[in-house]
Amino acid sequence: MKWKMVRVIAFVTVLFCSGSIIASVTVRDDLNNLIELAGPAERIVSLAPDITEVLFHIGAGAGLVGVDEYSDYPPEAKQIIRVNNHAAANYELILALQPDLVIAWHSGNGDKMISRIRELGMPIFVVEVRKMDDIPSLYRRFGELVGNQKQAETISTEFVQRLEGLRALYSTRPQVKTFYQIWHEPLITLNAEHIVSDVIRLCGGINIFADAIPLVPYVNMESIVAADPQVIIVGSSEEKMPHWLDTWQQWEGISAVINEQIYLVPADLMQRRSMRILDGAELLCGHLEQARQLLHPERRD
Amino acid sequence: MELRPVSAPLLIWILALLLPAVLLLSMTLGTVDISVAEALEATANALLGNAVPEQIYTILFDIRLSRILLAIFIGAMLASTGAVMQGLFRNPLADPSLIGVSGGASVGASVMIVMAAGLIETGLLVGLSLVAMGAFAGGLAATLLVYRLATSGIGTSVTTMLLVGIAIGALAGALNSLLGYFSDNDMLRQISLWQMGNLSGANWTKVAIMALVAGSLLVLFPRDSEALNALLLGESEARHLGIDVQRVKRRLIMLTALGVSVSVALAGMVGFVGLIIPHLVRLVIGPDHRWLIPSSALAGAILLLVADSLARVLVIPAELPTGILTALLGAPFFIALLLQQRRKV
Repeated sequence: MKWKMVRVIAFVTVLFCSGSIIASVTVRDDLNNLIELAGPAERIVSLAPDITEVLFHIGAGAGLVGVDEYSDYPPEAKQIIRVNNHAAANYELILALQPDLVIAWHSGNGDKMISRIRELGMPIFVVEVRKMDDIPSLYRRFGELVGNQKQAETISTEFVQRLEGLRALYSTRPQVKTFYQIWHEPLITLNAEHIVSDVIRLCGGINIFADAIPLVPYVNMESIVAADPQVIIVGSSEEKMPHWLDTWQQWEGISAVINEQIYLVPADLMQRRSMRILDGAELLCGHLEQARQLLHPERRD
Repeated sequence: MELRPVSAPLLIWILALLLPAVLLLSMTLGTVDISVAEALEATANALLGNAVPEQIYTILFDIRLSRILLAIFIGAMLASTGAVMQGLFRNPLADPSLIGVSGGASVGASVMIVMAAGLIETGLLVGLSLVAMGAFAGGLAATLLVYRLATSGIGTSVTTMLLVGIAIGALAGALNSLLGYFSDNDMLRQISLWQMGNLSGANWTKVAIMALVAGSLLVLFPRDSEALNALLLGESEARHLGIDVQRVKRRLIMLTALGVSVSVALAGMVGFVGLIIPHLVRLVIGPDHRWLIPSSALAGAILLLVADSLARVLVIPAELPTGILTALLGAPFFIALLLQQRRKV
């Protein structure tokens, strides 16, 4: 009888231990830190809208207990408590939400915010995505963190397929000189380090400010006239063409203006690193192709 | 009378000859290489009505020249208002940004951007004038507030005025950050432009507005040169000399508010020029406002033009904020001059 008890206890203990071994999760983040969780994350705080989108895509939206000010997609994300914006985070609120995982975007949230959260003893997973090819791994790693590997794997496979499809179709076509405009006064664009530049490359375009030093350079009209872009892509948060686009008409020496190759692409589809960036990429590739056909009429198919 | 190395008329001549030289040099600087000879040839052809290659014409006249002229007018306006403010308050620290004008103007502009975002989108000129009006209202309100708080029965206290100005400046900074907190991405970019100072948005409309304002200020300021000279002796002394001190103060403060607000509305807050240029000029030719105001205007135009030209070319094809360069260029020169003065004493 006594031995039987001991055996049962031993069995339960072994079962329990092996159970916790199976459930523990270890994933490497983009700062090369190994993040170890006792089990799949169930209470997650996301500090950037891209992260929120990816989590919703893999079916972990219900686990989000706090998000940043700009998380607006999918619409359900708007209902979640806001914990930070571009300038600051409410650390007290984040602690009170008792997250078992905080996910941050390195260049967006900054080292200060990230190290503060780490100091407060919360597990933090830091991502940094600057290439389209980095996105499938983002889905897979998030899948492991929340225990939805299957769904994440399906999405990342789909992502790779669509990405390779676009690449095979457009990336080797004649290059189109592209100016990607974020803002008009001052004129702001993005350099080669930014994921938008990667999308331009994917579509067979060449970012005229790829070599500028800052990630988000301020440029002047002279540099644009000198580079003579063949297409101008305006990444805008507005749904209709913003009125300031008319100001391009006065620069008659620019090929994109002469050929009327100025297009609006929703900034959220271009500048957020999630599945949706493929929708943006498809739009951009289409616009670049239109400009290309004007430049190379013989290629019209 | 202390002997100065350069007489006032000589300095004006030097500056007046230097300005066109810098202008010409700046016309040849930029992403696209255009030599002095090419620039002169294109200018001659354009003036004679001959054909000029389209790209050269666009770059030289539509892009570079408009920006150069905007820098000249803003630089001249800021430096001459700085000279007037320093004389009026008999304080070397007086500068449009220190007595709250620029702060007030930038809040006015930010409020307009946030409140009337839709209207600003409807048209370029309407938007520009709305923001400019906001800036003017803000700048004037701040100036009046500072002035009223500092004025009592016995006149205007300079110390109180500077202290209130600093408080208003801090309040303006806080309000700007607060507005930034509640505005969306696009508004935030517009607001940050107003706080940083940037001449890249130059166009002929802006040049015309700024030329009008700077021109009127430079015509109206010298009328009060004698009064400002008398004020150097002290307010009651100036009053004994038959000068209506309060009226002179009111007039000069209104003109300063107008000039600074318009420049803030067009190009944001460009710091440092208004503070340092009058000092530099005073160190060279002395405090006589008849010479100080025009010399400061010329020197301010040159400093801002040089700073903005460097801002355009240092990190081609991107560019730097102009304000960083005005400080980088002006401060060491200023310190060197101060050291030289000390050695003389």
